[in-house]
Amino acid sequence: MSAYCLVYLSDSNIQAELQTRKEGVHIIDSNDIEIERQHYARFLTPKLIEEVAADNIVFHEEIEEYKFNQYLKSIIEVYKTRYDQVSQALQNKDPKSPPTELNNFALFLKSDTHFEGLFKWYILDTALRESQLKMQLKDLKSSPRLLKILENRVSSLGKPYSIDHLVLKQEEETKIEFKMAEYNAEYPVNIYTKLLMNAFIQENWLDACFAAKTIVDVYRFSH
Amino acid sequence: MVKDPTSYISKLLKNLAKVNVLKLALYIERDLKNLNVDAALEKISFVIALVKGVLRQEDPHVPQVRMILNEALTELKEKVPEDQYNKVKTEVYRLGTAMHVVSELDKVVKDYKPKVLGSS
Repeated sequence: MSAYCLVYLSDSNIQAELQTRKEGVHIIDSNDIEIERQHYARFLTPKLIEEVAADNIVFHEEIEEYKFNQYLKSIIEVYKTRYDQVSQALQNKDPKSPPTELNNFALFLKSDTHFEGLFKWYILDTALRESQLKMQLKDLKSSPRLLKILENRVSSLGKPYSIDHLVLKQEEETKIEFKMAEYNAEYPVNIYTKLLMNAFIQENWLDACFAAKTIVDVYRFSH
Repeated sequence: MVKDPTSYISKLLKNLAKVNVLKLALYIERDLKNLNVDAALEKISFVIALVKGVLRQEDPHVPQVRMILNEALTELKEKVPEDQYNKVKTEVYRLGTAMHVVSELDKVVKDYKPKVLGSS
């Protein structure tokens, strides 16, 4: 049999009491709440304090899970939309049109068929980062419950959206880092090519000469 | 694998240069007919940079540009003071004599950086 006693106090009272006693509730991080000699905890047995702390952790996880589920639908929608957009951009590409691979990193990954899995991982990761949750897929390693929820949701999407695994292996992390470095090296040329075309369209001859010179320097074109 | 964009960009650059040097030559011809020598001289420096810095000597657009400018130069004679005529003449002759080297682009670009790239 157990009984709970709820006591409501205004924040100013608590702050005043903490100030005088130099004691208080210390939040170490979002998952770990330590009740340190709190004034009202003196009336509870150590076992009960442990139970309350454990209960709080479970409650905290439930809140996290609830929040995660609230945003999951929109994250998955963003993920699917981006997958479709990038796939269509490459499928509808006119071979005579300028290279588009460098327009963004997702396109760069998708244009290499060996990187289909990492492409999907990347756009899911960006959808998660840009959501209200502001999380990364890497963060979910330490939240197995949330990871499982996301894995189940993604695998239920079926082909072509499903992803084999959401936690990257070390070799995959290295591969994506190398690919990013490759993209960063190539990307400036894309900027200068666009600058060149715009400069000629607008008859800005000095900009055109600048862009031409930079492209020639980068690619070391010869006559 | 990602298609190597080098050949595409090389062709794009040369094709854009070919079209635009002819366009510039016609603008210069118009400026000289209007006796607007300063505007013509500025454009001639860009034509030389693009022709010499990007195109090859054997590209058919190169003699076309030279022909347009030579004709405009002939028409300019005795219409402007001698010193102005000589300035144009020197530049037009440079188009026919200077080497086709990438460094010709440096002569007009110098330390310039476009504003869109975050610097003046």
